[in-house]
Amino acid sequence: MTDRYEVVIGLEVHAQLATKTKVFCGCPTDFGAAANTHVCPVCLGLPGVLPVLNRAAVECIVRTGIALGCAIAPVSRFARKNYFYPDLPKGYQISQYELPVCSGGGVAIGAGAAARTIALTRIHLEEDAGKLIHGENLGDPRQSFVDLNRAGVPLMEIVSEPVLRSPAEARDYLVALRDIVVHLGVCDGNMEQGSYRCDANISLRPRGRETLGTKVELKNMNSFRYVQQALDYEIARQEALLDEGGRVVQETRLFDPKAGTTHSMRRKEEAHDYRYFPDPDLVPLAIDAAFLARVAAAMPELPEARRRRYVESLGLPEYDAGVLTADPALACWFEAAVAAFPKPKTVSNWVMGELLRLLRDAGRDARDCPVPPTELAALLAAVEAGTLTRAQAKGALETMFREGKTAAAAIEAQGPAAPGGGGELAALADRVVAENPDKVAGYRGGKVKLFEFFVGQMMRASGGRSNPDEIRRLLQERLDR
Amino acid sequence: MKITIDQVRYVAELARLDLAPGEEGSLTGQLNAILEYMDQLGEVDTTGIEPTSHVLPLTNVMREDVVHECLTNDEALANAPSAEQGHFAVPKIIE
Amino acid sequence: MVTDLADLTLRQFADGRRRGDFTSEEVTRAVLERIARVEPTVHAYLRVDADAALEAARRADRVAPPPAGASALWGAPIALKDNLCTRGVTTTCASRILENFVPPYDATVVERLRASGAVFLGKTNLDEFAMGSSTENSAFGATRNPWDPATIPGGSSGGSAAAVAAGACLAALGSDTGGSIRQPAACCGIVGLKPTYGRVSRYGLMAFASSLDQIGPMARTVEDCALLLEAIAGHDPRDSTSIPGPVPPYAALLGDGRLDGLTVGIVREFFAAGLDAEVERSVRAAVRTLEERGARVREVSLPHGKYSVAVYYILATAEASSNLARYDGVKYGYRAEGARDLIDQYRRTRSAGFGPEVRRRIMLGTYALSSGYYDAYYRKAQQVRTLILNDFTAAFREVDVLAGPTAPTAAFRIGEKSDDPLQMYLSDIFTISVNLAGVPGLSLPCGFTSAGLPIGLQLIGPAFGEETLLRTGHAFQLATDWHTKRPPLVKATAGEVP
Ligand SMILES: [Mg+2]
Ligand SMILES: [Zn+2]
Repeated sequence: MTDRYEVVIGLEVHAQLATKTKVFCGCPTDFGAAANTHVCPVCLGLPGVLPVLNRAAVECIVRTGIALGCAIAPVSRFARKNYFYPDLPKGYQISQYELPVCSGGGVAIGAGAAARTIALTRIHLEEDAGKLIHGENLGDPRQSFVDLNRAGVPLMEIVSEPVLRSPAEARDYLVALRDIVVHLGVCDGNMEQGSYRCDANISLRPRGRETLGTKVELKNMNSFRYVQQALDYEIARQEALLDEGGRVVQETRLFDPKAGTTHSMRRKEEAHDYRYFPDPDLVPLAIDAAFLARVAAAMPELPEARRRRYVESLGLPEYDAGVLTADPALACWFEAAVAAFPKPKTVSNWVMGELLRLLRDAGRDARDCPVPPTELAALLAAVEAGTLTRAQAKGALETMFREGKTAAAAIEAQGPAAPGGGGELAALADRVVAENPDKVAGYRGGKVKLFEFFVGQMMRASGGRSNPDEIRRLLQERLDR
Repeated sequence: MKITIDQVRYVAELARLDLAPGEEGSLTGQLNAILEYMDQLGEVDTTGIEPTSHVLPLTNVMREDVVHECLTNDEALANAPSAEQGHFAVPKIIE
Repeated sequence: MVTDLADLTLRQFADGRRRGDFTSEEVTRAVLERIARVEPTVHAYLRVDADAALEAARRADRVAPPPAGASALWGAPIALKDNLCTRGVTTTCASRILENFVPPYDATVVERLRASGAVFLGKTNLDEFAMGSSTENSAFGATRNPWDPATIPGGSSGGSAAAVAAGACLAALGSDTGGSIRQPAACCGIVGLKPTYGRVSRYGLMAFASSLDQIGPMARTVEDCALLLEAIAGHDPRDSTSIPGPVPPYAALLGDGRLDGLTVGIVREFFAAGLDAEVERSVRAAVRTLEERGARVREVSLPHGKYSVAVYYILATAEASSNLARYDGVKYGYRAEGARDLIDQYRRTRSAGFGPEVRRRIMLGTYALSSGYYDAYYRKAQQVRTLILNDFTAAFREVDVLAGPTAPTAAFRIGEKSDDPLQMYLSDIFTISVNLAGVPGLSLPCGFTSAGLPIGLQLIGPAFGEETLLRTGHAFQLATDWHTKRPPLVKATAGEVP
């Protein structure tokens, strides 16, 4: 990265709100329907039709505003942003201008000494445009085609202050923000399907200078990696330009994922004369204390709060808490399992080890985990009761995962417990520890090699048939506390 | 305030209207007569006056998040000047 | 009394149909015959759906209407301004750009009239996108005033007004953004009501200026307007600007013609220079009539009224410039051929599709909103709008109803003001402030000029004061017979009822 210039990045995230219907009409928002079938007179912009605001969309943005510490405007307004484009059926986008729903607030990124809060300018509610399909894709390169299914889908535009200083920081911000909106249940966070999109404004200025350099707007970055690549490329481009004594032109540039470069948009953008004015078809939104209280009461727990609770109340290590809370679905699964088998660390070990491996290998996530949390709990109860070894339990879990068997059925299929396994082995471990108090004291005093002595005792006593992993685990449980 | 012929061209561009060469001049004249009439608003003292965008006492008009019936693809495209394969068709767009 | 079924009022029709004096089909047929006779001169309609109307009339005759009260419109032949969307029936807004547009939905008012059993005769002419005061701006030819075909019928609801006056329907719906119901009602000697903003749903009304547009009834009597208003008013969940709450039974609240306890305010500024002497004489006489019915009269002032035309032509054109952006030749409507690219197609489509007045207003509104001018024009106009609204609020603390002329002159000659947009705009000087304030206004006939052209009295009420307005207007009509006069054209063509 450059040391002569300071990088200034501001991000605009468009997050599709997780509502059933569009923001101003009752058409469904699901992705992937046949072209122009999720449309009605309102979202087609037919003459004479009128918008009516979706309450759920307002709740989503208010929920986000509360979570990010924004000021929620007591009165906000919708405004029309006027421009012509075939994917914009009314010739204007209903958005917000002077009075957005949320202003201020911030997103926490980094940890420990690197922790920082990225300030937000505002969050406002607006409608999405339709989709343009280039002719080649429908077999007619002379034309373009318009699908208005997406037109009117609710978006919240989250605008950061221009305070991000590197592409890596931009990425951290985007990841943290996505975590939050996904946890809040206000956005599915799917970047490929476009429900979480990002545009970036980036400029360079010589170190020490106050005034901002000319900014370039970057579009078409539909993954975190692309955002970073595009910003890296753009920094290098602007730096070279400035070093040569050239000037950066204020423009919109598109990222080309294949080439890893950005290029100027060929379509001439108008002078951004959007002629915003209050939309006379909609009345002001007055979010009062009662509305706020209702939304706040329905707030799901945020990742940060959940992480803290896992450490403080469940006694999990920071690392476990971080992994489990990264995905809200996984956290819910984990909590359901703990409810049925109240040993959080044991459940955490199984979830982070075996379950996540099985999910990863199967290309699935916790949302569609084939094993119900109560069944893992049943399996762990069996291990604790000594009816099967840990190794057998691993096998059983795999069977449950692949064949959809219950814990009981999977245990049954494993056959009888191995000789010397289960409770027998645990009892043996108790005995070996109880019979050698001096060795125990020595081990606990720092003579770690004595551990092998206990292992040897156990192996001998069980006739060498037991699982050494299991023996080590049982001994650790007894010696390391 | 006077509107110039260049401003008239700029506004026509924004509004996606083509003006014939002769029309530009006559429209500039007409708009100036109207704008001159509007300049009388300058004599009204509006310091501290809230703008009215709506006479209504209404706020918070919202609907529930319930799916309604959509138009069929045929109905949606029935009035389209040009449609193909379920889409509205427009001249090729270059980005 | 009535000499032809086409000249029935809605009330006479409802009573007669209920008594069995005639059927809906007979009345509809009489009206269609009248249309055939007067249309070549008047051109009130853009389309007449004779077969569909007769079919609907026969259906109304076959099926029993809902219980009394709601049934006044059952089988009544009515006309709709062609900026009201009708499902499956071409709706053009009198514009080339919508020449072949067939809405897949009904406007809420159309839906409600259908449910009331009304029979739709067709769609009436208007100034393109309701932008005008003479109906000369229609892309499909001007409408003429039945009282004198050399004069304008007013506008923009000139087609509806002329149709009502000529007996080419029993009543009609119009829309009013700056006077478009009241001014043509005055020009054609009929009654027209612009309701309070929010009283009637705008869903399905092709928008001109959304913060000002209202749909309203046009008929031969105040009582008929009350009947129609009852049928179309009320909350609509599809229009965020429609007011919740019940609709008063307006027709039942018309009263007995006495106005004791009512205070009528005479707006001083409405009687200033520029008001035609004959108009002034008739309007002052009308106020005396109200006094004779028991009303007290006093003078009031609306000091900011003189700015209303300036405010209106900034706000209305700004909203219109945005409302009309959807006409781009992509989803529906006219598309110009031979474009080089998309932007060229937009330009050609919109330039050929819109008429000169519409283009002029789009230009004006775009300019008023454009970067650097918003504060000087749009914001300033919104602030003066607040002052105009405050004037009305203050006046209605003193009086119940305001009275004055609807328009400064009677109908002017066709072509007289076509080349001077500003003079045309000034013909709405008395009606525009009512839209800016969002209050209801009623125009009703109160005399004739020496040339035999009707003169309109305008009554203005406070927000949701329709009941008072209608009661006042009804009392006036009980005391006078201006509303019973028929244009010479009708007399010349009408036959006696056997
Ligand atoms: Mg946006
Ligand atoms: Zn829709």
